[in-house]
Amino acid sequence: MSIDHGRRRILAALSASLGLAAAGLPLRSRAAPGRVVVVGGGFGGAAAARALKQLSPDLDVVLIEPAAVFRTCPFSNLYLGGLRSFGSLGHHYGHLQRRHGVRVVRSMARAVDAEQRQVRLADGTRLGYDRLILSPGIDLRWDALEGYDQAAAERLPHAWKAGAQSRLLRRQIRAMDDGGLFLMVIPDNPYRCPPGPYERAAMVAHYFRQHKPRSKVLLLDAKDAFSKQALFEQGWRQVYGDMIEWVGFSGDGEVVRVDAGERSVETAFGQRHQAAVINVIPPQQAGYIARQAGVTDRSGWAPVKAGTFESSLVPNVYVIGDAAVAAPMPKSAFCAHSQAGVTAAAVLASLADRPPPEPVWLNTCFSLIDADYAISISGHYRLVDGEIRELAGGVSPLVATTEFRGREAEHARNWYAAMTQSIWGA
Amino acid sequence: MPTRRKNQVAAANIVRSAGWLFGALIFACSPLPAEEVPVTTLAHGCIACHGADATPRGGEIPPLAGRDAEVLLDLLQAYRSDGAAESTSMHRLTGGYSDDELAALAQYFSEQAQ
Repeated sequence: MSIDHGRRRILAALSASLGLAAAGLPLRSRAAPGRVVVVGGGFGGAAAARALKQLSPDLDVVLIEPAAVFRTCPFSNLYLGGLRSFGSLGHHYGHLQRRHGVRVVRSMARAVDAEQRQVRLADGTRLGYDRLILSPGIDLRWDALEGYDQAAAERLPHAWKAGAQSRLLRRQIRAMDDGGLFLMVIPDNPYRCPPGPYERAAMVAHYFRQHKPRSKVLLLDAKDAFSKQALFEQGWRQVYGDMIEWVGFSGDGEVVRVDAGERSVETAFGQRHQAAVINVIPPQQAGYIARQAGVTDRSGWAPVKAGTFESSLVPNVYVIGDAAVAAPMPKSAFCAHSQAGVTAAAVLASLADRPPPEPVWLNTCFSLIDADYAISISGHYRLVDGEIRELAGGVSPLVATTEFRGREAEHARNWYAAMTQSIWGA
Repeated sequence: MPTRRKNQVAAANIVRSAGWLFGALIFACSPLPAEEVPVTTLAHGCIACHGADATPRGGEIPPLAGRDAEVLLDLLQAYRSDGAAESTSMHRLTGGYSDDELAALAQYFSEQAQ
């Protein structure tokens, strides 16, 4: 290691330990392999930042994230059901910064200048990059469902981003009377976490069984089929009897209007439903910075080159996680982490002017039906003729022992611990 | 898409339509792969559930780092062949890996120090 190089590392370590402000970052990186800026500190972005530093320790990696603590959507349904504390969902960036050499800037990315290769932060600072990875997750569409805006979400929570909304929904569930109705509005595809609404139904029923046994869960869905449907319906019946009712599109399940004041919803064919608690999961789109950077198309999501997840629209910008169009991969935390690994390798190859290495992606989504009853879906994805294809995978068997369902519940807990540890842990 | 995977897909199709012997012959005659999935990319998928550390976390899913390569490879092959009674989801995930990839993974994790 040259003296110059050594000095750079010491300076980098020093500024990292001082809790580096964005103002302390030069516009251009002096690190030899260059600088990669990652926007968004969730499963995709934080994992990408960590993977980049692991694969290339001298690379200058900057992670931009406004929140001091990231709260995971995975297991937030368990919090609603009383199986996990709110605190257990939170993960901070201290280890990424101090142990793994990622420079964490606590700020919001406001704009991307792809020509100049700069990101502008909330305080006006401009940050230069050689490659940019956007992992902004989702934004809720406040224009998509009549009557559902940010004000309405304070009465009819979505709780589709973990945090204050999760706590609000939990408070409402706890405050309702025994015998009251919990109603969930579920959107059409694509949206974050395809099995999430159906796990949530089970977790709310889990809470009702213990505390409000006369209450019911009604799901109004804009589609006719959903992820792991047969397994969910079997599990709901086995564990909760007739407590959970699902109404699909064909049964007039599509909600077209909500009334926050009246706490009611109206379906496409004019049926009105009133409920004690209404959880509205509205249609979604890629997070703000992806739209601002021009990497999204008319669908609201970001089309990407399948092998690398580089934007199809803007060069040197990569989009991973829920914001990207990655079908047949679902919008899941597991996929975001998997894409982070592949894209980190692709970005490093691109910086070194090498062709991208061959990718492989995995997914596994566990859904809890009860504390000791889980089901899962897995997928193994490759690039085939320039497209992402599922080469192996499947769901839990419909016929299985109690012990088998219990082991999958244990696996779900193990997965959560391992995944969060490998991203945010020491 | 690298030549090898193309050939594997082609080989799989031929296996299905014309019997495994003919397919295996085609496969055996195909040129060597131009590119491979880096083992770090392969391993990135595993650590999502197994973690990167060698220290057991007390759950049902065991750590992989520091384990014997032969034992790991045996397990992986058993999962892939669907013969492992213990499998919940491992047989679904291992289905997509080649022999070489499983061996590379087993070797990689065995070399990850405590």
